[in-house]
Amino acid sequence: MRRAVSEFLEDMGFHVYAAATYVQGYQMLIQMGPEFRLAVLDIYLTYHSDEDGASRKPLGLDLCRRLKVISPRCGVLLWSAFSHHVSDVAQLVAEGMTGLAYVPKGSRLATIQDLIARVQQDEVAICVQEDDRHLEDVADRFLATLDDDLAELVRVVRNRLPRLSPRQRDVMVLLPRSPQAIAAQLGLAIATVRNYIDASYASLGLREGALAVQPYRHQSIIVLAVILDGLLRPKNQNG
Amino acid sequence: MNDLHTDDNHWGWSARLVLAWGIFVLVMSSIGVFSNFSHLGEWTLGAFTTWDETNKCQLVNLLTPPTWPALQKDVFRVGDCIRRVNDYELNTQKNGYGLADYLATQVDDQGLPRPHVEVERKGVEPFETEAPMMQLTWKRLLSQILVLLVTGLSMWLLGLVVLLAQPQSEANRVWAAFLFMGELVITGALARILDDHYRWIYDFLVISGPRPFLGALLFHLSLVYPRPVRLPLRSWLRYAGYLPALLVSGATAVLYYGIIKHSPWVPELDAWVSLGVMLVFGAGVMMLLTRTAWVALRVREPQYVYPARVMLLAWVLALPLSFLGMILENLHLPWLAHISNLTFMFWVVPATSLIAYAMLRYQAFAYRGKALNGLMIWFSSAFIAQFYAGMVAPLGMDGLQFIVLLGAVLLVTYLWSSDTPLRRRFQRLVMRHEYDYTIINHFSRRMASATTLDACLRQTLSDLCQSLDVAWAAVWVVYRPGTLYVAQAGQDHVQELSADSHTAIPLLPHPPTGAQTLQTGAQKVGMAWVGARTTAEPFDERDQQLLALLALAWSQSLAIHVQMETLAQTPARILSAIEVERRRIGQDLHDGVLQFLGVIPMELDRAAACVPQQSDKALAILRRNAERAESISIETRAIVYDLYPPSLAHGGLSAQARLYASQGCQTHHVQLAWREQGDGWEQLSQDQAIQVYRIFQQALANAWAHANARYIWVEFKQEAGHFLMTVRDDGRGFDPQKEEAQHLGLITVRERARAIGARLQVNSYPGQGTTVRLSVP
Repeated sequence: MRRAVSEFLEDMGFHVYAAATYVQGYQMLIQMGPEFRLAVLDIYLTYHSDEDGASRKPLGLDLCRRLKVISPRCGVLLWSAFSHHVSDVAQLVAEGMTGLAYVPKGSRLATIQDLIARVQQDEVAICVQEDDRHLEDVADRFLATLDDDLAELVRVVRNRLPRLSPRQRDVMVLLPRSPQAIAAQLGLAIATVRNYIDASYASLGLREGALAVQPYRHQSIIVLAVILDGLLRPKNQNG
Repeated sequence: MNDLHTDDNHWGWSARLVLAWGIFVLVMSSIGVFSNFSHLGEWTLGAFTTWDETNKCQLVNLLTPPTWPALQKDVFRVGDCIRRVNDYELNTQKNGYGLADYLATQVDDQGLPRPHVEVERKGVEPFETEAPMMQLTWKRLLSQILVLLVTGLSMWLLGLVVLLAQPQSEANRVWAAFLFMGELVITGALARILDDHYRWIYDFLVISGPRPFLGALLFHLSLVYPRPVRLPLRSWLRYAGYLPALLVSGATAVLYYGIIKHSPWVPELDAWVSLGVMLVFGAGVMMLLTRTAWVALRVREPQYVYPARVMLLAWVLALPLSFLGMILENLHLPWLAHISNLTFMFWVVPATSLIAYAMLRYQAFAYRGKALNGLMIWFSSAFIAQFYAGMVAPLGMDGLQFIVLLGAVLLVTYLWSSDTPLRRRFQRLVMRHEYDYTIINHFSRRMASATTLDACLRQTLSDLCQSLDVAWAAVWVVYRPGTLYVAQAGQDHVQELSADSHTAIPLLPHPPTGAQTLQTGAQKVGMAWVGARTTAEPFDERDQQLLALLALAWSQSLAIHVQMETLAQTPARILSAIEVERRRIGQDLHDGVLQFLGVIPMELDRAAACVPQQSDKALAILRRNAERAESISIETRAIVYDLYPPSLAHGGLSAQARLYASQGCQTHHVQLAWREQGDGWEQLSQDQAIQVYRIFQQALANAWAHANARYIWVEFKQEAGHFLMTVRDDGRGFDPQKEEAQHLGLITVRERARAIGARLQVNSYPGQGTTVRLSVP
């Protein structure tokens, strides 16, 4: 599998370094971390090569944190066999991390390519493909991972997302990026983007102190809310 | 009497009270006895007042010494009434004093030579005759005093024995009180042998006062023995006899002792008092007889029927004995003359012994060396003395008979308290078979009723200790290889010491008196040891045989319990194995299929990208298969998830449970209240976590599917080293006794709990909701 991914990334024009365990990955990170542009991390890793597969731990998250410290511009694609691990990503987002995406193993090429493009733009993106029952599970688990206050905030903000205009919504989805980047992406003036952002914050109740948002970053809250919305929307559409 | 059980701990306050009362009466009696010695050498007509002071005449009673010439020459017979002496009318009611007072004024040192008396005899016209006087000698006085003293004393001791045998039993307390009362009346009569104008307080306290209470006690007893009456009224009905007894007793005091002057204000009070005494006593006797007969005929449980039958038997035996004594009196057989007046009193001793023995014997507390020994001493002493009186001493030495009786008591006591072949043989013949049988029977019942191996070990061990009367008993079995169980006499709980087969023996409290191997078939499964006897008896070969027999039954019972426990654990093991297997399959899918599938859709897409755009067919096949591969991986993930929730494997039990609960509650429109304390749940092993989770799932599934609940409360907390999970709903509940309860997956749930050694409690009642509590150590 490692080889398949390496080949795929090489096709995309990356120079690829592969590591099998946490220890190897860590050494690689120390040696040439600042040069990395993209990392594809399995969330569950064995610590050392002489351990068996059953003893895997979510060491990928740790690697991700370290990588973001060494090379903040590096995009990270996290993946795992279970969509439930998206909740682990929620932690990272809550910590204010951007340029981050999650995809379950077994996803299509187009999906992966799209996500790689987005993390390199410093976006946060989640892709989950599950049947409805497990999707709901994933969403609950996603919220359960967050602090109770934050989870409540995210839930409220997510419910208020329909208040936004389609354009504001587009801006919000791209929010982890800088206003300049968003403006370039959407073909708008920077001032307009700023206005959209302000207006969106107001509609979502993040401005007038209606919600106790301290000590969380507005940006993180909105990113999480958008992710949550993405997790719950298929069900809503069915219903 | 050193075998009589007199451990202070067994004495209730009532026992102390009754004992003090008995001692008080003995002291009073002794005072009465010694005061009578002042009348030594005085002349009398031999007619002593006992307790028939309401008679209009002076009765020649049973206590009159048979050596009195008037009796020997058949001038008087027992039961005759002396109406007049030398034209002086003897009517205590009318004149206020009787024969002794008259004689005291008439008789000098030489006596009144053959006074002229008018005698009334049953079935014969009153006639006049001359009667020889009798001088009170030491021997004559002693013969009368002792016959009463011995009878009274024996009743008192019997009462004490009955009380001591089981002091906490209400029936026994009443029996004991009844016997003490009887003793009061009998020994109290001593004071009436000779007149004493200042003895009225004593008379009232020990004779006329207690008499009505005998009836009240019998009444009370009939409602608690052999089986307490179960009526809403019973609490006051039992004591209903005491108020009339108090009234009659008070009336007696008023009437005869002039406590209130200018009495009586009721016409013919004396007749009413007599009637009252008769009624109260008669009511008690009749009630006891009726109840006993009713129990003997109608009740089915042997523990009640046997005592009742024996009670009836005792009555049936004792009453004819008394009548026989009286008939013998009236026959005036010459060879019986010297004992004729004592027959009745003598038979009272074995008769009361028989009653008490039967009571003790059939109440199944006739433990050897204790109450029964005391009883047996009296029982056999009475018979020895009877035998002597009837066969060996026909020469008419009145006082000697009582000395013989006392001697017999001492001898039997000595024989009983020392280990003699005679006593052993007697025990073996009279008691031992029966006793051993009782032990084996009791032991078997206890083993049969034990539900677990541990219960079987503990219960039977303390039974062994108690029934063999040993200081301690200990057992070590291979089924509990790390534990030595030790039961000590007088302690309820069984000690558990950690020991293996080699270190067990040094841990025993003392060197063992008896030891026995436990074995099933040829296999040795353990050892049992017993300590020294707590009674005077040695631990003999017969006890060793008994121990061997018990050990045999014990080993079989233990083996059965072990088999049962193994069988009982099988479902739990299967459930555990299923979970392990599910987890393994899930893990395999995750590590194998899922990882492999992980890149297939991507690779197929990549392949599609390499295929020239013109070859539509190849592209279509690749894209179709990429889609299939993707949906297969989604399905496989769902299967793995159901096989073993992934978060459980990483310590997320409560999070996983919360997820499950909130989802389900939403679907079923149920309100969920969630409480969580501590994070100890994450420390559970994977085995425990999965079983707890499955139990949780089942509890919630029941609440959703069957209970029709509106609210569900869930609590996860940590308490005193235990993890507690509580699931409560306000649904319609169910009756755990009914069969439908078995359909709610409770059996599986219990097995799951058992598999991880947790304690599961399911409380439910129709309409009251259901509470499931799980405690994981």
